[in-house]
Amino acid sequence: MHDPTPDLPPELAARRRELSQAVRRRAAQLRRRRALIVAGPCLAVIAAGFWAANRGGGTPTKLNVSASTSTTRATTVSTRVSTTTGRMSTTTMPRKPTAPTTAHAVPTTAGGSTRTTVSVLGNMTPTTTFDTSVCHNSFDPRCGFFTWQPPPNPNLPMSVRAAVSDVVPAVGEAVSVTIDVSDGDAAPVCVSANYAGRAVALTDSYGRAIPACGATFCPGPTRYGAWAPPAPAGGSRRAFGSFTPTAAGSAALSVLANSGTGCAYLPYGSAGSTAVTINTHSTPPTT
Amino acid sequence: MATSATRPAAVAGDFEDAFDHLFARAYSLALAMVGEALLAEELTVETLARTRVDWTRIVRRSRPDWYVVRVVTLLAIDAVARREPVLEVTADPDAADDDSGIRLHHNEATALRALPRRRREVVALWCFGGYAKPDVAAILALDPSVVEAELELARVPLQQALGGAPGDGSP
Repeated sequence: MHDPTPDLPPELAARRRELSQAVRRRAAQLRRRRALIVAGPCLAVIAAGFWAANRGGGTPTKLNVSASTSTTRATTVSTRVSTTTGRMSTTTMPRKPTAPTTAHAVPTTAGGSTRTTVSVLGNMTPTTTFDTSVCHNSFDPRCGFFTWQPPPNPNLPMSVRAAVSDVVPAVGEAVSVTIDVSDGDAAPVCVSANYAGRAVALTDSYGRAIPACGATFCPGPTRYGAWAPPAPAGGSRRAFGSFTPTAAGSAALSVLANSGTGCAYLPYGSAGSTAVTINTHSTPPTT
Repeated sequence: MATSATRPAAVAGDFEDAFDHLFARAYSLALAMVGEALLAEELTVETLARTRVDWTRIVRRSRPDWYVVRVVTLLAIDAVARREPVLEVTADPDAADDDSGIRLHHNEATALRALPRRRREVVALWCFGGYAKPDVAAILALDPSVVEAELELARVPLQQALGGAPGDGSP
């Protein structure tokens, strides 16, 4: 039951600081997104009013949005977006630019973190500042391409073994199959078995269906920037199934298992397969 | 299980002070529902981040941890329903079998997702969260009779979606 106060699992308690930082970063992202959602309609209203005031190219009309008295037509809207990333400012410039449009990025280093300032001068362009120190284990696209930091350990292979009750069954005779899958650094996520082109339903020891291997699974939203690799966590699973040959001859029982290969977020994912040849004879079962 | 409407001492005041309690509560529930430590951790971080953003509002509630329970439950349903049905991550199959009565599977999550939000929360907390009906009512601030009604209303669509025979009992 969940109501009694649960303890933080030891493996998580040891990483409390990291988890707390992850929560703080994600909260900062959510606050920023919320601020933009709130600020968006306001900016739209301001822009619409600005456009209406200046269409036709007549004498510019003074637009005073801020509480203070404005002596120019520039309007500044400042929004507090995050306590950790500072302040994001959007500056609306006069309709006719007074300076040529230029763009430059100025990386600076402050307190061990790289701060990139992109400043664009010209007609109705924003100025933003992004602190890349928040880019560890981040979902923020501004953090760049996803990488592991430090690199994960070498990936261990997967082991797949299949045992059948009879490799020379008669037509119509049920054959049971037991499949053992193990991976030293990732838990198997799926097991598939096919005999003569037909899928063999697999279950665990409790009779619950084991999912067949299909499309590659990747957990969570898209990641950006440097991420710490997960700790290797091996696993194994046993699958049970049965099939009934319907025609005499030789056919293969092929088995495929996967522990997350193909997903960049699962560095220890592997795939494995094995096959067992079944030689079916035409003698019907005596029962 | 009887939940208490009394605010746990660990969930008062500053968010950082309540962090351990809230994280453990959300993580244990997420892990029970999705059965995968990595995904449970991500769901918990997302839940705690949302909680942190609105902490000044949430901390005024009688039980701030119930907000965490609701959010992580809905996130777990979405996560399991979104992922490919091939996923069945178990670091230890025997450990997963112990949770066989709680574990949320892809088809169940998909069926739950089709329900209206309140009905989804009621079913998820009762079936997969391990809470008794009075506790579900308390967490969701509903009358117990409403919980009963929501469970009854959810039964037929869930049985149809999951392929169970009508009238074969509650989940």
